[in-house]
Order: sequence, then structure tokens, then C-alpha cells
Amino acid sequence: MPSLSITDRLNAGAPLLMDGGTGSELHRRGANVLVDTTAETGQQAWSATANIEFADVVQQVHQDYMRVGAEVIISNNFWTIPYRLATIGLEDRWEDYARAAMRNAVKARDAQNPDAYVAAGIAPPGAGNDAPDVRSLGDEYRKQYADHAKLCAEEGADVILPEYVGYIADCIAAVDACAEAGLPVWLGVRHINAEDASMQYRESLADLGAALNGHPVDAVLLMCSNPQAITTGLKVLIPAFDGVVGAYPNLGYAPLAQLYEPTMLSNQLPADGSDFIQLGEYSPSRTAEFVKDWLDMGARIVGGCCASGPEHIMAMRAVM
Amino acid sequence: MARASITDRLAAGEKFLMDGGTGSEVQRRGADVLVGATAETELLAWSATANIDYADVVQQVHQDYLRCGADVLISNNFWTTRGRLDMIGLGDRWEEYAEAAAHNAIAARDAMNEDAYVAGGMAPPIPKGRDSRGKSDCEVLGRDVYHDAYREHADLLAKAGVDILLPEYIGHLEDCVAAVDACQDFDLPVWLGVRHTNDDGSMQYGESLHDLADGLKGRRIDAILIMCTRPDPTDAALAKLREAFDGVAGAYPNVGYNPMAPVRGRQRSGPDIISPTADPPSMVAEYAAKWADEDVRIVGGCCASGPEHILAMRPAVKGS
Repeated sequence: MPSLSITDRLNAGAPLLMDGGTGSELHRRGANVLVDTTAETGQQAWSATANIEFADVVQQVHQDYMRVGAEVIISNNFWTIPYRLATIGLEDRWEDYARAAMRNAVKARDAQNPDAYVAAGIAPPGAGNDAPDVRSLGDEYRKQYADHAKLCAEEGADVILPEYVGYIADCIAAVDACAEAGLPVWLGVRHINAEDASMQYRESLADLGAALNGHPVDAVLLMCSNPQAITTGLKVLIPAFDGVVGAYPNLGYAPLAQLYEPTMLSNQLPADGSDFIQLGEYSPSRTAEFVKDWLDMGARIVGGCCASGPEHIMAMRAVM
Repeated sequence: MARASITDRLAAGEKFLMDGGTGSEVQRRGADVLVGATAETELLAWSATANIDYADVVQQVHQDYLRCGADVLISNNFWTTRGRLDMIGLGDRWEEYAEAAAHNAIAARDAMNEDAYVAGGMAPPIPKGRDSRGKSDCEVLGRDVYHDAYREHADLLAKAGVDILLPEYIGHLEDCVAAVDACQDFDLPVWLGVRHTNDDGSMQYGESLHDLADGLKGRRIDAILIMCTRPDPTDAALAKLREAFDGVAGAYPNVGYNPMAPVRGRQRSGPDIISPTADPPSMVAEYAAKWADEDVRIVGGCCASGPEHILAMRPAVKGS
């Protein structure tokens, strides 16, 4: 266990380096993250099952990130939630997968760097299409988040990170529910639009910052968005939010790429072909340049999301 | 250990998937492969020391390749030689590093897939003098010195229990023959890895693969593999090799690695250890499919290729 609470560590001033993608890195190392998944099904539970079936690989990925300097690792919970595990018939076992994800992260932390922090990363239930999930799922949305956060707190999380959230209403509901676990809460906001810095569904980050006022959230991080989108988003978010701001970009991950038959579904093939890692211009050195800009703008927590690997975190560390 | 003879299986027409890069992948995961290296030095002993200092990471990389379907692992020996380790003051401990490398590969194989094979990969034993440009190592060092250094490495690896001897990363024809000669007395298959072939399919210093095949006549040489060459020139060399050599042909291309980037900064291929222009898995997989059609029977990856490349090549080489 770290000697300093994560909030004290943040208040101490120096920016915090997080890890990079875990699910994409597991995918790369041959763990099956496509259980019962076809081109027609969509992504199902993704890497949730790997927490038990490939626990050793999950722990290795966590350890590799700490080896290259990450001070915060995000547990591989994400979709260890009833809503997602139901897609592959494992809804009743969500607690097993959720606990396994936490234990993998805590065990890796204890083995590699006892002063590192474990953020329990939890994605939302719901399909997030036309309306906020909290509107369609109601109390079930809050309950799934609160139960998950409490479980992660029991397993030793240092901070709860509801992440990959799209609508403002969902962000508010998620942080309120997660705070019931009694730990600091950070919020990860997904899919920022690069052209106008808006949130996924065209809501404004300034409105998000204002709406979060008075809610129990210590940090807001823009995530699962490309680096350009994060740069534009931070410009709006930083003046609007009265707390710590951070970012962990997605560098180009197409988890289902290998399932598509190019001849059958060419309209669905990822833009850059059949590779599930599609870094394009986001080499580690280029990504580190973005990170340097974000730190200069005032971001205090940085790392990587899907498709980033230890080499990206290593490069970010060099500019911190 | 009831593994079938890989030589018999090759004779029966089977194809084998090798692993990808090990030194580049352990570097990507934060293992120090630049012990003693600075912007002014050359690569020194590279990942040789990682076999002891980061044994867990080396074993994890081996296991990841097996998980992705590799049938053959190359042990991370390469420069675990007296000559190379002498450059960082560890020459007297070369046997410990060499044994650790063999052990890491064998332990990973035994843990993950007992049917897989371990090839003992050995780079030329002694660094060339700075004034040796264009001359063979045998000319510079004396053929006996070169041969005997290879022989002591091969002897150690044979005793450690590798399944195949693989002198690799050799440029000159004369050096290839001397290295193969040094591997004759161990009752193990001998594979040869020829480096840096040119766009016209000639060897690094303009010699022909025809002359190489002639030069090797009368010796045990089970397979010749084109390696540490980008996929395009590898393809050109394979065309020449198949005309010239009636044994098994193989290939494991380098897809774009810049190991000194962390200490030298921006090099020809940029500041990233894995070059941004590295060939993606889908591109390497297309070559693997072409080569498999042309009866190239051993295919894998060299520096900068990772488990994702081996995953992508697997259907072409193994059918699933």
C-alpha cells in the first residue's frame, strides 16, 4: 500500500503518470479478448474474462507499466459489469471477474512498486446511444456503479474511476454512485470531438465542468479520444472545472479488426485495414509531445488508453 | 521430453511458425537492454544481460509468443558471448548469461507448450574491429578464433538442452561456413540465419546465396533462414535461396527497430525504439502467406515484430 494517499500525492504537486492500454495490450499478447464475439455481435465483454482466464498476462501488463514508470495503474475492470457480462451469459459471475481484475492489479502493484496506486476503472452499463444511460436504466445504472465501486474498495482500490462515460447526466450519476464506496473519485470522459471540443453527444465540456460542481469528483480526465481531440477538449475543460484535470488518449485500436472478412464486410473494415493496433502518427515520441503540451496547459494526470503500450508510457515519462 | 524430431517433421513437409523479436520486445516492456551504452558507443551486449536482470520479462515474452501460436522459440542468447559481454566488463560471466538465456526459453516452453522447440540463437561471437569494414570476421579475427568462439557457445547450448542450433545474424559467406562448421558435432539440427540481404537478393556484402549454398555442401545444414532484413528484400533473397539451396528455406524479417533511440535520440528511423514506419502485422502476414505458398517452411519475425505479428502470420503458416 502506498504510504501517501493518492489525493495527498496529487496535492503534492508533481503530475502523475498513469499506465497505458491494458485490454489492447492483452489482445496483442494473445489473450482472448473476443470471447463469443463475431463481426456481427459487436464487442461483447471484451477483456473482462481475461482477468480470470489470463490472469498472469493481466498482471504482467500491469507490472510492465510500472516498470516503465507508471505511478497509477487502472485495474482491468472496465466491463466486469453485469450489463456486459450478460452478453456472453456470465452476468451472474460479474463479481468473480470484478474481484479478479482488482486482485490482478493489487498483486502486480505489491510485486512491482508498493508506492503505486490502483485506480478501479469501471465502464458504464448501457448502450449509450440516443439518451443518457441513466435515463434508460434508471436506478439500475446507479446500482451497478455503486456495487462495483464498493467491491473495488473492498479489494484495495486507491481511487474509483468511472470511465468511458459519454453524457453529462451519466457522468453525474456515475460519480455520485461511485462516491458511495468512500474513496476519491476520478471521472473518465470518452470520445471528445476534435473539431469543436464537444463531448460525444455534442454536449459542452464547459457545461460538464459546471454540472460537476458540488459533486464528489476530484479529477476529470479526457480519455478514449485521439490526442488532437484531447488538446482541444482540455482548453475548454480546464477553465470550467474546479479540480484536477488529466488525459489518457486512445491511439488507434480496432478490437474487432481481425474478425471482419474483408470480402464480406469491407464497409465495416477499420479505416486503416485489418490490424487491431493502428498507431498511425501516434508513435511514442509524437504522443509524448502531446503530453508535454497538456502538462504545460495544466493537466496533472496523464497516461494512455487503448493501443498505447509500455513504450508510450516510457516516452511520456521522459517529458515529465 | 517426447518431442518429435523437427527435422523429420520438416522432411514430411510441415510448416513452422517461429516467434518474433525478443530483444526489442523486452526493451519495449522496460527491461534495460542498453547496459553501458551511450550515444557514442555501439550497441555493446544489448539484451544479453536481461537474461539474468529481467529473467521474468524474457520468459513472459517467450510465453506470449507461444500463446500466439509460435512452434519454435529462439532463445535470447544472441550476444551472450565472451566477446560481447567483455565490452561491458562481464566477459568472464558469459556462461552464466548464456545458460540463463537457454533456461528462460526452455522454462517458458515447458510452462506453455511442451511440443514447441527451442532454437539456440547465436550471433557472431566477437565484435568486429572498427577497421574491419568489408572484411569477414574470420579475416579480422582469424578463422580459428571465430570458429572456436561459436563452438563454445554451441556446446553450452547443446548441454543446456536446446533443440536446434541457430547461428544467426551473419553477413559474410566465409563466416556462415565457419559458424555452421562450429555447430556440426552436437547431433542437433543446424539452422543458419543470414542477415541484411540486399534488394537484389544478394548477401550483405554482395556475395551470392548460390555460392553460400555451394560453400555449405558436405555439412549438416538443415535450414537457411533470411533474417534481420525488411520484408521486401527478404522476399527477394528467398527467391534466390530457393533456387540455390535444396534444404529448408525460412525467413524472420526485421520490421523496423532502433534500439539506440533512447540514448542517441533521433536516428535515421526516428526517435522511437519501434520505428513508426515498422511494417504492420497485416503486411507481414501477406508476406507469410506468399512465402508459405512458395514452400518457405519456417516463418517468424525478428526485431520490432511482436506477438501481434505472430498472431497475424499464424493462419497463413498453420492454417488456423
